[in-house]
Amino acid sequence: MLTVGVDIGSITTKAAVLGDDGVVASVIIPSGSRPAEAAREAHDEVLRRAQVNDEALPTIATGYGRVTAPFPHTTVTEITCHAAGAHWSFPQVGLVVDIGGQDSKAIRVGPGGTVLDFAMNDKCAAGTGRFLEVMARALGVELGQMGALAAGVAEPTRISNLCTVFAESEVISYLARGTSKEEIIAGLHRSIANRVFGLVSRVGPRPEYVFTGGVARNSGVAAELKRLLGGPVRIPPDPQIVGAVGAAVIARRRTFDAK
Amino acid sequence: MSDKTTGTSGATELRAAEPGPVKPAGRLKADADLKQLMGKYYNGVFWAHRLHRPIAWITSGAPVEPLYAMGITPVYPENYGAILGSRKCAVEYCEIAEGAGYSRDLCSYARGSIGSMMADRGPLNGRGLPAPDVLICAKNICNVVVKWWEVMARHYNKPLFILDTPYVPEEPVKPHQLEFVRGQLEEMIAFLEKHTKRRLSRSRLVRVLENSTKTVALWEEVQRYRQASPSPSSALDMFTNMAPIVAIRGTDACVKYYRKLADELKERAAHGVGPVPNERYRLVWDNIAIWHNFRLMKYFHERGAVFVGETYTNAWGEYSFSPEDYKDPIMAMARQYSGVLLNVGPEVRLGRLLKMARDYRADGVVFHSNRSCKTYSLSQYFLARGVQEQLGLPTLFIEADMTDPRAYADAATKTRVDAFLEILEGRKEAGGVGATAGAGAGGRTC
Ligand code: SF4
Repeated sequence: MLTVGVDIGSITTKAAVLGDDGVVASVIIPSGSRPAEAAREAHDEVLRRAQVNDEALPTIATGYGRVTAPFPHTTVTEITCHAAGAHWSFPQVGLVVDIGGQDSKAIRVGPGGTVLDFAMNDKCAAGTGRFLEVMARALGVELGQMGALAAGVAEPTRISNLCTVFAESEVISYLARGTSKEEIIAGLHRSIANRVFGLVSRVGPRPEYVFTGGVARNSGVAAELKRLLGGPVRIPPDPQIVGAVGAAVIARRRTFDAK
Repeated sequence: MSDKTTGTSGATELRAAEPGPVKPAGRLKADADLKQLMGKYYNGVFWAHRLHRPIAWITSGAPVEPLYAMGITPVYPENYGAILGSRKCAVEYCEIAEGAGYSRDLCSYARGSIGSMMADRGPLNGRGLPAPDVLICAKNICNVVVKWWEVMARHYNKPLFILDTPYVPEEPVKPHQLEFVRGQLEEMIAFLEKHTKRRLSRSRLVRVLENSTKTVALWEEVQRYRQASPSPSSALDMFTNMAPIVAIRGTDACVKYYRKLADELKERAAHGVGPVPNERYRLVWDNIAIWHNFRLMKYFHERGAVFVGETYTNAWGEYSFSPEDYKDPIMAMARQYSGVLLNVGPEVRLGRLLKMARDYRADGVVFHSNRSCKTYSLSQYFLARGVQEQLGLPTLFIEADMTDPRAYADAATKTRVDAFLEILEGRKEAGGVGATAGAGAGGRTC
């Protein structure tokens, strides 16, 4: 049986098709200014990659654009989907830390991948993927290189501003003072991890820890998070599609339940 | 679907046999009376000076009974702030205050009311509130009011009395604290007598206290009907209906109004009528209402969730007096006004919240983390932990401000609400995603 999950985020839209043996196909595209169109495109593309042509497959949309998705679907929030997606990869999961394009969240997960509690930072871009993007531009480095660049740094620079705009000027002033890019990047990673750790403390840390969302690709943030949590942090093979996979997992469960 | 048979009263059991109503109840019939009653109160406020009645600007936690007993008209800048919020014009007045240098971190009731005072403009009759003759500030709700009242007293150059009520970490209130507050109350009465040239008669005070007690008993009766399923009213109704108990508690008109409201809710409960007939989730609300966004409440209703209790409306059930109290009314007031919700320690607050959640058979608790009100919001994470650990109920945090819509993000809030309702639904189904768990094992560990 095949099911589909589409996660329409603020910056990227992700889609996954789930089969009996796992993820059959997945796709990540930019959301652009028209989330409904991005949803349609991601949906069609993932079906094409999975080589199926069936609009009627059980489909769940999630993410901030979930309500407007222009194909037959039901909606589930990204919080529930991330828990389900993380649990699908790591059945022992106790806490999901998700850092996406414009929000970050900590989700305490119970048996069966159910959500017990969650905390979100959703009114400010500080400590999210957008924050890293802005900083990469200010530093003139590739987003994807940041983890590797920060790897050997012993003394990360202290980034004291929580606001993205102020932190950017802080970064520029460090550069002007001659601080190395590597130290600044390590400092940025630390500040993101500290911020999300505040959310973790609200819901209560509970191993096993799973890190999802686009920022989980950044090994520097992951390492800082591990230091703060004091235990191993698991990262799914493609951390960015966990919400979409979770949506497909829930669609699958509901289809079984209905039978 | 909904657990219609789990009602506690005979009335609910009776109803289970009847086909349940599908249409949500509209507005309460009493709403028309409420509008009239509060309109009359504000008319009285705007006419007070022409009728040679002194006006006192007082805080919501201040003892209003001596004022009514002395024929002084109380005016509540906080209630006015709430009106600015529900009429969706708070930002306009807040910005006037902000332009004068008041920080956006300051309570929005204070900013709105100061803005309206500075511009002498407002939504009620075009102008701001009529100037005070005296100002009374009780510290039992927060420290903001102290500075806020000082600002207003300076603006009008009128005498201000600050009633100091020491913090009560645990109940009962200590005897030395009571003695101290009694002394404060006596000073307050002497202050009022001096500046308004009116005397307080003990017998009139007792009569007003009797009315307060009757009002509170009726208020509690109103709340009790909400133990029924479906609940006959929601937070929406209760937030609007608390205006009289705040502003005109102690008057005959107030008693009469709540008698009528109680009868209406009794009738609704007996016939299974309520704002969410297919009630699926029963919730408790903590903190002040989001006055500018009652739509959010409707969002809950449309998804089968109803608020069956609020710590905020419940707090007004505290001002009741016994016949024993009338022998020493000042001492009795000292006790009541010391133990108000925002003047007690978090443990006491938790105890009251847990009791409410149990009595009203709540499925979860929603915390409005109110950017304005720090005293109310500060201990909420402690309270949430208590609710989770001691009752095993899930909790939700909504970040907003009671009157300032600039501190609220609609889409993000609705996602949180949806996720919370998914948690509640998951608990009702008691299922899980176990069927496919582990199938995607892999990935890396760092
Ligand atoms: S800070 Fe809270 S208690 Fe104080 S005036 Fe504002 S809303 Fe009322």
